[in-house]
Amino acid sequence: MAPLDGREMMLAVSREIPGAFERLVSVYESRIKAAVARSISDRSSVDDLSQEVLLRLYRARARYEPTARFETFLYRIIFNLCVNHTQYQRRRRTLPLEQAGGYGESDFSTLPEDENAPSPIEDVAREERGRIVRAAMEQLPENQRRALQLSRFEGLGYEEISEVMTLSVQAVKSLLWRARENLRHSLGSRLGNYADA
Amino acid sequence: MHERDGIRLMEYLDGTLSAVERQDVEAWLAVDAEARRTLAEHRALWTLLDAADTAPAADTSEEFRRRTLERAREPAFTSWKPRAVALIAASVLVGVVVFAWHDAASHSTLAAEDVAVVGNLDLLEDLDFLEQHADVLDASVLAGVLREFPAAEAPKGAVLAPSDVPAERRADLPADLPADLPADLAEPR
Repeated sequence: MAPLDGREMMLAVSREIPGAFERLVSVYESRIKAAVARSISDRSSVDDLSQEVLLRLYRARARYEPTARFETFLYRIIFNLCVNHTQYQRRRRTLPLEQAGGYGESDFSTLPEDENAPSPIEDVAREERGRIVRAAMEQLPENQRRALQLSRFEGLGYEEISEVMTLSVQAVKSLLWRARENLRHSLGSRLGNYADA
Repeated sequence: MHERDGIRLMEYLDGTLSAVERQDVEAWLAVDAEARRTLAEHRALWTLLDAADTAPAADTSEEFRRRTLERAREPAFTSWKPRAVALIAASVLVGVVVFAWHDAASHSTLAAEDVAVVGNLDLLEDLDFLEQHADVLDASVLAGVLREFPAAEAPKGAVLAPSDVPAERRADLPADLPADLPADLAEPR
């Protein structure tokens, strides 16, 4: 028997089938935690937010309509929770984001730049590459960064991202293109070396 | 590069174009070195982004699942207090509104005769004055007042014909005097 997909699992939960929610938690726990971890900066909140995502899924079971992909429904919950969490964290900060090293500004001049750094493909360890790319991503405006995460890491298409972010498909394409262009410019020569290689 | 062209390149990279659209882009790339370079960098960027993925590969725990399922079994409202407080507050609010409405209504209700009195208060005061001093008023003045206020009701509601005006004053009455005169005004005391 083929394994249930997300929509079927959620339908089983909505019909109060015993064990359905336990199964959904088991299947999606890792994926939800990963998506939350990508979306927020403080790791200490990942478990709490992931649990809240699952609880919201459970509480929404009675009104769940299997019209869209389950993943779109799921990522919309994750997206909204993480946006709210980020805004809450931002309000709590006492330092302005620029001073705190946050990602409120699009000033790519502050990216680490080392002329003598070896090219990523040859000598720089994956960890170092990750740090540089993450720093560049954190400089992106929030909407661009979230759209890029949904596209690159969660594997959502333009239309799915538009549903999650409640934007038009064209607006999503525009966000994604600008995010990629900003990253291309900020990563500059490193990217050139990588591309040539 | 114009954003519209950039988006087309992005769609090409993401594989979301139709066959015809793909051919169009490839024809464009064949003649535009800048577009080819941009495409190569975006392709490299897409690969490089893997390095930025901070998510743990497989993060699961029995404790997490246990706590989540426990919380899911909890009723949405664990206490009756919020509902009780809301109910009491709503009851008090309804009570205040009903009382205010009733109070305002009791003050604004007038009997039909009161409405007539209030509506003609100035006039009635004038008529009372005339009534009290009718013995010193000339009948023509009295008639003028009555002509000025033809809708006036006599304080006691009775009417008399002009012939009831005392004979010594009847000659002063104008020809267009209303046929019915309030008794108390027509008959000075």
